[in-house]
Amino acid sequence: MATDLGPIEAQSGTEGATESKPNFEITKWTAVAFWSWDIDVDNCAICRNHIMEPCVNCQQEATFNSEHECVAAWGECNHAFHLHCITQWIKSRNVCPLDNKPWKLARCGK
Amino acid sequence: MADTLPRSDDLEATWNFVKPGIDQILDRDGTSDIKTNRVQKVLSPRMYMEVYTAIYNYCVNKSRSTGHFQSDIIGKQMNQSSILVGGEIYENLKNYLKDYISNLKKDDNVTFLNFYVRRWERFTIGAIFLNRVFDYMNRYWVQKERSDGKRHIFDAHTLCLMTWKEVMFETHKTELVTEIFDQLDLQRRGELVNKSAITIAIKSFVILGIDPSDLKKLNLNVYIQNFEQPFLQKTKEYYTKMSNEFLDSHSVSEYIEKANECIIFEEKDMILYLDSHTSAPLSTALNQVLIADHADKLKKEFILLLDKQDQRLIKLIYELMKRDYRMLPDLVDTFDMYIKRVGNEEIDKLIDAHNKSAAQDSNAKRQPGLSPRDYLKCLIGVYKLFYNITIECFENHPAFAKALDYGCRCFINNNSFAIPPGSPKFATSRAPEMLAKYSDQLLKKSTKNNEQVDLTVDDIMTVFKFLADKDAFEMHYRKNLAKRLIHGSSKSEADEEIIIQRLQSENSLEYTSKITKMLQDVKLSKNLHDEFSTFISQDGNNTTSAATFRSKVPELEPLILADNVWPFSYQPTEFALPPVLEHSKNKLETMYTDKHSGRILKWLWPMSRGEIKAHIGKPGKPPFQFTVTIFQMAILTLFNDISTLTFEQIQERTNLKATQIASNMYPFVKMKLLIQSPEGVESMIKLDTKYTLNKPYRLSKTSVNFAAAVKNDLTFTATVNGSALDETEASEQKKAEKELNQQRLMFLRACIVRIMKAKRKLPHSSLMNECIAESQQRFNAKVSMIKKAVDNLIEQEYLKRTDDGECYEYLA
Repeated sequence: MATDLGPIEAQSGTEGATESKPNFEITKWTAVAFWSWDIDVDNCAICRNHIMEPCVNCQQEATFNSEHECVAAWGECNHAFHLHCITQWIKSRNVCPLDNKPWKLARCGK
Repeated sequence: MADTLPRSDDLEATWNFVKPGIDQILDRDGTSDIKTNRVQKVLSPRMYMEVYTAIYNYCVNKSRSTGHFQSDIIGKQMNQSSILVGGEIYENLKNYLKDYISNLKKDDNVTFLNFYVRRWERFTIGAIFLNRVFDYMNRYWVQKERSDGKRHIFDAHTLCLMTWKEVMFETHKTELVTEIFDQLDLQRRGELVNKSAITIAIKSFVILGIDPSDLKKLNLNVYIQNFEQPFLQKTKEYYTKMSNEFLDSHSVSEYIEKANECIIFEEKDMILYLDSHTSAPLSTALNQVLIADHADKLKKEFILLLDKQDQRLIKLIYELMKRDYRMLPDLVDTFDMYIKRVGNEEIDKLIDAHNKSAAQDSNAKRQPGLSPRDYLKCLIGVYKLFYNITIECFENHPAFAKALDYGCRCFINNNSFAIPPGSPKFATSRAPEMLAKYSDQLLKKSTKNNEQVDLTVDDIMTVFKFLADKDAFEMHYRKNLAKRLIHGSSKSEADEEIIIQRLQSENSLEYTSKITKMLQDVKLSKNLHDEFSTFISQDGNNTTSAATFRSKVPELEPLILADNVWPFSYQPTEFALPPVLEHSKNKLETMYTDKHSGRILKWLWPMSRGEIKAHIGKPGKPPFQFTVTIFQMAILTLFNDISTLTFEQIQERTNLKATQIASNMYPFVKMKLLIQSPEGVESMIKLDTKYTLNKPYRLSKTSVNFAAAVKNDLTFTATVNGSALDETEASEQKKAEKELNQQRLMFLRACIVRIMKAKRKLPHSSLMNECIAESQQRFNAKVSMIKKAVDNLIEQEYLKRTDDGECYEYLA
């Protein structure tokens, strides 16, 4: 592939250079991908909304500004919920709603 | 006239003394001119003083002496301590007035009306003076009598009027009223009449309406009984006859104008003669005989006028009908029906025209559908037409505005194109789809047919307002938007945002939430693109020179989309990315997952595209520009090293499914970029079919969009066979419908739970109604679907039926 480098740089090159160019030269491409939280379940067990969608409270406000983004949160038990939902939950009981073990936040999506 | 005042206790002398004065006041000999009504002309000040004094003396003197002088006429109740006198002179006056009035005789050469009016005018002036002359009697004796409950005793002025009424009016009223009516009829026919005489005569009826028990209270009895009622009756008769005769010899349009003229005449000119009390009953009478009685004809004419678009007469007919609020609803209904009918007719015409032109163009094997632009133009045309009429002719009257709304809603959502005849009962209207398609045409970059995009965002919003299935529109719109965003074919970001904003304000924030999120994803991806460019060039600095690195790695535009927001789902695709792209893809993944923890990326290869510079022309010619899918990219780059490949080799190296390869290669073969051997569609996917690069490649164009020739959602057979394509489209539609129904069911279930949670217990019908009301902004909920949602919820024990089976109860 290193042999391709010169000719590509000289785009308006001479005819001589053309011969060393490949038949098809990719100039640009779009890479389309979905991102999703790294979770097996689809729904947040607390609000029952899809974890990719905002939680119930955010849905109501329908705010999509990035500061107030509605992200997912993982506990050490590897269960995941909306950060907003679990924050609300642990105010009353500091356990994971799914396995009843003490809740410890492992990481937060961003 | 006596020079000295009479003895105060002598009734006869007193009366003889004052009588000449009274004669003069009332102009007994009829010499004085009617117009000279000033005090001096009626009675000289000296004479006035003398008459007044004589009456004063009489009343005062008698009152001073003892009660036995009291007249027998009024004596029965005269045992009270205060003794006031005046009865005899009152009687005299009364008799005098009777005598006076009954002796008024009209000359043969004047009409009774004129005689009456002339005499009345003079008499009323005299009455005022008489009242003053008898002021002392009024103030003491009359007041006393009246306060003692003698309601038949009046002050001098009222006595005059009452006597006039009794003697003159009651005996001659038929004659008088008939003459007035004759005059009014003459005026209706446009002839000149003595307006002031009529006015004064009618006014006299009002003045004569005296309530004996309360003189201050206005009383219209005389007026109403003797004049108003027959007047209304006559008026009705007159106009019934007139309108029937007119309609026999004239068109309804002419009648509308005539009726309007008549009403204006009556309410402007006639009303001047009448007491204000009559204006309302007069209008009612006119409404009845001129409008309501001919309502059927007017309604028929209304439709004809709408056909003719005669705004002036439509307005006139509306103004006539508006006069009676009971007549408007009929007109509104007619308008509503008319809109529906015209809407449907216009669509039918459009379909006919389209079918005809399609039949003429026999080359077109597959008949293309109606163009969304023509279709929408037709809808908007009808709407604007009637909107104008509503504003111009109906003053934007709420009932008509509502009819316009309702009528448009009907024909826009349901016409022979949106729901073709013979469709199943619950067929989905195609209106939302057509609107979404047109929005796409409006917003998409296009090289051809720019002049075809002549409807504006406003027009789109106009139709949107009327859509019943707004959720269906959202779905179709989102599909098209996704294509525009991913393929970068959107005309302008600002336009996209304007539409979204309009949709948002028209419907709700929630309605556009996914659409907004999609736009946001694209914006974030643009930022990511910039970051990535910096990132990768820095990365390059560490190893080789930046320039070298960039050239080694083709420019990568990432589009990282939030799952579940976009209108397609992830399907794992077996695919070997061309090695030259592998590096940057990995870099992007690394960078992205570093930046956003807890996220994973799933590559949507079927969505990815790219550009290729093909140096395969004749030497000296500039390279071709190809726009290709990433699969086509992978296939073409294989031909960099070798000029002929078998299908098996291609499959081996790209790791794609056979059908995918075929549908992506099809445009290459068709455009003779690759020469297939053996030829034929059926041999395309045979393992040993050979493909050879056609080099040098000859083509008049320098840029070719191969990606557009492949539709990612089409199967291999679809691109080959036309009829199969129809089927795919149909199945696509079915899929969309299914998806839509799924969403609706979810929405309804959420709706039901919300309602039931608040109400706890609700009868079946109320729940249905509330659900329908709540879903109105998105779609028209069908009862069958709500029932299904309820059953669902009962199964899941959110609800239960009450024992009588008529209500639902919320559990938990």
